[in-house]
Amino acid sequence: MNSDGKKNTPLREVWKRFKRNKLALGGLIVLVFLIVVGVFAPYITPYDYAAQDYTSRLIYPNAQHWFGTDNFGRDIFSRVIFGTRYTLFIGLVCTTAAALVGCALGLFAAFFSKLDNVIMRLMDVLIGMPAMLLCISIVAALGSNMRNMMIALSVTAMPNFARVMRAQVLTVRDQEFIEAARSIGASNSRIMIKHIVPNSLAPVIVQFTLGVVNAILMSASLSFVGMGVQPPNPEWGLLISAGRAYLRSEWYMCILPGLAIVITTFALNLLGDGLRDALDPRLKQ
Amino acid sequence: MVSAMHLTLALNNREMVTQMDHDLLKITNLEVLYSVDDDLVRAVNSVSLKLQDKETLGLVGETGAGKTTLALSILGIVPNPPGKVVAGSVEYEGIDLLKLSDRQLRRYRGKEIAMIFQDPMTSLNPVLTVGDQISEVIRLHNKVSQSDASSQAKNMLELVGIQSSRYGDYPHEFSGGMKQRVIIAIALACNPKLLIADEPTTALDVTIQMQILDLMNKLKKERDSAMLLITHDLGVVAEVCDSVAIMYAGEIIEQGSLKDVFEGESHPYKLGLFNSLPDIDSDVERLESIPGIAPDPTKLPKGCKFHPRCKYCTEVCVSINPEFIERTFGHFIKCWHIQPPNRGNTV
Amino acid sequence: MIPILFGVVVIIFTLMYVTPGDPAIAILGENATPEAIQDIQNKLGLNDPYLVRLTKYFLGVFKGDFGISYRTGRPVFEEIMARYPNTLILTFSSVVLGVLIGVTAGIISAVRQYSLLDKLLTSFSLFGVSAPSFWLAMVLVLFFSVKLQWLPATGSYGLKYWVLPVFTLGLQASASIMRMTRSSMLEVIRQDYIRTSKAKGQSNFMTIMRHAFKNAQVPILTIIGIRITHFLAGAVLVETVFSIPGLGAFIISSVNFKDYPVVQGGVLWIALNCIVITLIVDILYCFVDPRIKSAFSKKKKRIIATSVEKVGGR
Repeated sequence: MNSDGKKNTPLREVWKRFKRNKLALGGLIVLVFLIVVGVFAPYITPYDYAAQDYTSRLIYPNAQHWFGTDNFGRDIFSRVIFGTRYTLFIGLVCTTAAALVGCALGLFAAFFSKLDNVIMRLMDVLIGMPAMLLCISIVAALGSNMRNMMIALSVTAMPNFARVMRAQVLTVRDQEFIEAARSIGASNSRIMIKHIVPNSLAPVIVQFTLGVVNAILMSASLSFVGMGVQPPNPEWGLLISAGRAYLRSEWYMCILPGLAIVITTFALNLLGDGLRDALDPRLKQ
Repeated sequence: MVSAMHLTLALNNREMVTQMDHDLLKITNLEVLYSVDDDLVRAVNSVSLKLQDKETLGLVGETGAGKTTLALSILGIVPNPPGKVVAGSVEYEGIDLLKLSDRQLRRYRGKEIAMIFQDPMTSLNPVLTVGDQISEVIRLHNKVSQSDASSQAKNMLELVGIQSSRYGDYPHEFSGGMKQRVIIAIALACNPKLLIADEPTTALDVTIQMQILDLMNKLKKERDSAMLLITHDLGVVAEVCDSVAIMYAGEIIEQGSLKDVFEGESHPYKLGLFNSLPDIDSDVERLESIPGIAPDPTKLPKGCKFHPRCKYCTEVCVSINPEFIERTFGHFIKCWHIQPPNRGNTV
Repeated sequence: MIPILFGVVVIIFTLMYVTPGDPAIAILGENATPEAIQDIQNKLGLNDPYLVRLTKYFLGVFKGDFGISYRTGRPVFEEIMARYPNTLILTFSSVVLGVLIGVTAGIISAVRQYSLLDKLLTSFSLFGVSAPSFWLAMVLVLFFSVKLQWLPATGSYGLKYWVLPVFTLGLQASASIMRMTRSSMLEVIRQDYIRTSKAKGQSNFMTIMRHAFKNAQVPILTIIGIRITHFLAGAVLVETVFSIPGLGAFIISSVNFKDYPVVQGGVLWIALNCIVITLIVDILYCFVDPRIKSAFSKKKKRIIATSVEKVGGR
């Protein structure tokens, strides 16, 4: 019991440590803000993001168009806001899929040594290829669209989760409280679910935030070279590539959507660092 | 752990070294604070200590009593942040080390004052050979070539009982006891006048402990160095030390010659320590222990720091921290209710 | 190593194998006669079963034969080699720059933890790993090329043209290397042997360099190795923005042209590079950390001892 009379559960301890890190807290707030923006996008945008207006082409940022307009007369601010949806959707969905599959594989590899070799060799091959290349190959094979890009991103993110989970499970498995559980007759699956998984979550959570950052940067990159989300969708990477031809004069077309990416990933990185420090205080100075 | 009878025997077999020369080391009202997560820890609380030439002073106390911090402050290597020396002086041969710059202090470290740390497993750099680590300290304080330093280092290895051919081996190729020997070699390589040993045998096997202690004792005598031996083991103190200081919650609560502390009047804490030693002659069902636990260093009690656990505690103890009282010459006790000598340890 | 290489080949080959579209038509064009198509298909063995084609490809790779480009008709290997040097120069110069800046900044940051300098450097490195490389490239182009008119934006006709691309990638590399250096150094600085070094009277500078940094090298080396492999592949983006005729940009344009043998060969070639780099890093570990070196030499001694026994030696 702490001074408030509430129980000091590990979760509460972690939250307490996390709260102390103002930067990480800031990252969390920004993330929540972005999610809200993404969810309520249709209600926030001042203009229809797809509406072309040839009378207002290539206008510099001003009071009516906060981010200016592009060569089709579309309001860039509205496009960036809608782009939030793509970014968050891709980032969260791909990483979640990778995490679920990867962690399951890692758990099985750690628990059943017969599968271990096979699974980890496969992961080694996937990691041996640089992620960007693997994504390009997959998208080249399946076709350039958002769905295939998301498949590619999930596949490339998966092996890291498998590795992290496996390493953590191997450490936890050898600890004495597992022996204790086994000695009172707990079955393998019960031990797996009730004891090992909860204690292995910390590095997975950190890896998750890293994974989302990666997914966002890679999806922007792939869309930039035309191998992901296709135009005229307002994905941030696409917005940057569309503005490339106008870099010399209408620089805002490229730079501002890029800033949106930077803010998102910056916040996520802060969040990830803060989570890592809060979950394992030993690592913090 | 050691028995009361053992202590008595050890006491009788020792020659006492009690010289009243000038003070080699004189610590006065030293205060060291640590700031940890918004809390302030008073690690060392107005400590005063004196050490003469060639004297071996045993600093006894539980874990967390502030002994290591005290040792680190002598050398000026208290980790900062989070630690800070806020008051007091540490005079070595008359010069206040606390007032010196880091550059000036470096000339003392390893040469005049050397330190042996507690855990040999982590105190050596894993990517350098042991020989290089010894010759490093030699070259830091003497203008010699690398080959001269190497041969001196090899001599040191032989001196501590390691074959000089192992000069080029790495720390991970040695056992714990041998690593500690290497550390002793490093500490003694430049013939320091003062050797600070922080629980040098705690991390070692019991069989190795005696070897290391004997080695340290022998080398110390040969080189006429003074030693500040930090330990929580009374048996070690009886074997090796000329005088004893007992530390509790960051303060020295009793100090005197070995005989005085072991056989003279007592601070209740020390009494508790001695009474908790098992006696092979008496037939008891339970061992005596000191009730309560060591105080939280961030919330030290007012008045005497030991009063919550003391059975002789009265009103004055709760409100006022006692000063040192010198009942017999050279024997200082910090208590309002000094106890008569131990029953079990009279000669 | 070998199984990974094998796995990579299989994966890449299979991916290209399942791609829809008839290579014969890609080569000959839409108006080719059925006989011509049949002819090409037989010549290229396009109607053989999967395993046969896989084996042929695998054997071909060993001989340096990566197939023929659908677009130009020249050997894929030639096309790769024409552009590979550019990518290599870009990657290695950026990594060198990144290491120089990143390691130095990381050490300073760790030693002066909590200071203003540390906070600035940490923010900068966080920015560097958060920003997409192609956007960063455009910001730099905007600033140095358009506004200040100091450096050219595209092309690769001389040293001046390489400055911006190398600087872009180098800054990004230095960001992640700095982060790793800093955290590795912080971990090491807390160790007991650092305290021992100070107690010996060693100066702060030498303590950092001789004791702390030497121990921090292994994780730093690991991440440098990873960065190189990422770069080889990710240089794609920078090459595209700066119009550098490198392998990465070539692969992308080949995808758009559906020139699959080139994509296959190019990706495989880069993957091969990455495996070699990983191998080199593993070897470097032995020189940096004597614990790893002695584990290796113990294994070697055992192998030599047992083989001597087998041969009948004493």
